[in-house]
Amino acid sequence: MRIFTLAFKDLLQTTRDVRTAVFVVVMPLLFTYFLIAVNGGASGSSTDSRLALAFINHDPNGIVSAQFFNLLGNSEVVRLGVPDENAQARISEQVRDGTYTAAVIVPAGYSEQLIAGTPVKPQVIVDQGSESGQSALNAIETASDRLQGALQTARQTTQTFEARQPFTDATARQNFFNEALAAATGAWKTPTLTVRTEQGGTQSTGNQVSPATQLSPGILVQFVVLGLVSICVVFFLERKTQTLSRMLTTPISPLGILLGHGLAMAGLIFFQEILLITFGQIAFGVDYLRDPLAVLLVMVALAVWAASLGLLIAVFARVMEQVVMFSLIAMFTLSTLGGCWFPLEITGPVFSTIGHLTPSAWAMEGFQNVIVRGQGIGAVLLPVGILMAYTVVFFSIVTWKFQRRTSLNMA
Amino acid sequence: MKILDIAFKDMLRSFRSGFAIIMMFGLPLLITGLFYLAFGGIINGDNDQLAPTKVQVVNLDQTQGVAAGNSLVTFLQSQELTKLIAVTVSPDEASARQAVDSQQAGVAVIIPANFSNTIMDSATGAATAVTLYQDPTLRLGPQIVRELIGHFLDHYNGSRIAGGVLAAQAGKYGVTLDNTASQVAGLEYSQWAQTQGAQPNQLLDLQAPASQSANDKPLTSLIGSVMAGMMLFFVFYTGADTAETIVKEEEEGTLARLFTTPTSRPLILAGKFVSVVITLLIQVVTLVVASALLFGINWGAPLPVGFMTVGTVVLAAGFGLLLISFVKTTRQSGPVIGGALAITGMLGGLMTTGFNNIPSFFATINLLTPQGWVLKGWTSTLGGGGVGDIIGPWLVSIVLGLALFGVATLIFRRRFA
Repeated sequence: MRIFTLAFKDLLQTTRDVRTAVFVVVMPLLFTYFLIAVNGGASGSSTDSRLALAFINHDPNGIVSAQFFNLLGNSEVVRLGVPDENAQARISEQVRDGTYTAAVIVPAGYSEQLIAGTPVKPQVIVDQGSESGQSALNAIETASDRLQGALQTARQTTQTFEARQPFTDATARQNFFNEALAAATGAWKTPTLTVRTEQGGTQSTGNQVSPATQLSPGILVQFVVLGLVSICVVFFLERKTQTLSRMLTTPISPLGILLGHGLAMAGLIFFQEILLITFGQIAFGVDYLRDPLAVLLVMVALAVWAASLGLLIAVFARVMEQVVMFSLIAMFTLSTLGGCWFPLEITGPVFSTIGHLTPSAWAMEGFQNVIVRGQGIGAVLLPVGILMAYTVVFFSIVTWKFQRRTSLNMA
Repeated sequence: MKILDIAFKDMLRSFRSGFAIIMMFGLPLLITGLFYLAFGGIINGDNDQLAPTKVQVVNLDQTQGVAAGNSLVTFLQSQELTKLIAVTVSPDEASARQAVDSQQAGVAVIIPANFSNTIMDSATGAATAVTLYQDPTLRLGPQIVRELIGHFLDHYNGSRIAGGVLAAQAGKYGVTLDNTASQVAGLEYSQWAQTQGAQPNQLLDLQAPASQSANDKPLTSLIGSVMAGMMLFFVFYTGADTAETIVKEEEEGTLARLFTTPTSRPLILAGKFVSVVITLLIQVVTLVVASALLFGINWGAPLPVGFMTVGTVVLAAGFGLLLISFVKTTRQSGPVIGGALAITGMLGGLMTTGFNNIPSFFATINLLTPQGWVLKGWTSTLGGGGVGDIIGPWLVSIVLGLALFGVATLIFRRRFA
């Protein structure tokens, strides 16, 4: 009962502090909304989500450039835009600024030279270092390869036909070639053999998973650590103002004190989780309610682990500023290593391996097993177990340190 | 001289604080360093740095003869692809899918039973698809597998198209071809495609966008952008945090004591303002030099970098002083500094410098905040821009910084009158 009284006191003290409203409620909600919206993950958006590709054609009357345009137009990855003359002059800056993911610039005489068999390359401006840039480049390469294939088909067809029945003149030959090229390009619109993508878990064929499924739990895990600051401060001040020493003279045990403060931290974090999960579900359609019990388990494990981290910070900090400093370092390090800002899959193997060892990565795994992979309670047991194991380790260190302090009368 | 004494005392206080040092230098370098470690090697296009994607392949195509399904499996298992994908042949579709669901594999490739027959049967126009069943949390690995299989399939697709177009064109012009003509056309195409496959990446002239001219490696470009965002966030934080000494001294009573000395109030406040400016200058110069040495960031030509350093310092000092001028107690300063800087920093684009494909309207929103202007300037210098490119953001930074500084001074004068 004393533990609950202490926890209630902490929560009362914390919620009266305006910092709690800012760091636990306002900032995480704003960050979640902003980062997801900027990434195009806002639900209800009916706009074309394909990557913008600028097509600048300096070979306007060429048949090959026209077919290149058609092939790119069939892409499921890029949507074509034709910039006006002013924009063409600044196309490189526009790719840099993100107006276009990439730009294809077809040189003058492109069609004529390709038909004549002279190698000529369209210029492609793209940031190959970005994921979207790579996707756009792949789409351009596919279209370019298919265009070359169509040209080869047109050449072969014309030569084979000519061997059987010579053309009356060069114009007839050129017309036949153009028809064959158009037919081959048209056939590439519906190739016989295709690749069909099925997303596991969600069972939605070919659909891209919304960025919100990465960012919503990612920002939640990040702010869970930052949200600890205000309640850590309460515990820390108790230590520094000797209130804690006075409390130790009362019948409550040192373990009871730790549990009381820990319970308050876990309670505050749990409240923050409910807020962010409700927001993610309603505003962005992140399906946390797919399996409420599984999500609840992860939430509880995350809250308990984060509370143990909060206690760890509070018992090790020597001055108030260290509470904030340790929390910030923990937040940035665990968020980055844990894959809260970007999936660990796209990082190097060493970083990814180390990242997978962090509790934040396991919290992400637990949430994503439910909301992205569509799995149930069985899939969160391992992440929850690992979070609880971390909690035991952290809490053991806290208890050892706290008892050492109290035995030395340093609390 | 008194101004410098007061400034020196405040700076001594700042630089003796471990917390201030971490916030000024430690955190921006830590965050950028983590990005550097995460993406080192990969972003420069070196896919060898990625862990191979685990792929389960199930071949339902048991056709005798052509056996295109087997060819696809052999292709995926080829030595050249082992750095990209780690292939395991699965006995059936269910176990391949189960491997993905249980995260034993990132992708399951399911080759359909009619795969070879579809390739051989050009008369009916039937189509089929290889299914990729992927872990929905993965992006890069499945994309690589999709591309590899797509290229493989396009080889067959092209052959079929070559045969089909020849037959259709001949028919259209009333020429009768024997049965083998289409097959020969397909074979000829196939031979041509094999020679093309041996010469990849020769069809396009790839160029980096303008921003990457100074940092020609994509990784350096990303790290430069992230570092610029983090540097500006923590410089603006330091501006406000250093200015907070005014409130601290007011609370502790030392400011009132200072006001009883022969030093005039405007001089005391000026000393504090100078301390903010010098601290910020040291911070920006240190971060620029340290990040250039640690991460190889090329910030640009010295002159525009110098201009932007001054612009950033003036604007961050003015903004910090203005924020603190509204704060009455140190208890208020935490949420005010944290909240205001986080929100303006976010809207100014400091948190999203490493993101791609940000909607273009966001660039306009960036410029509604002071941070957005300095970020624009630094982005130009990182992109190799000269003085002409940064003069607009620089002028705005200086004018806005001085204006905010002026307003803050007025508020402080009235407060301490």
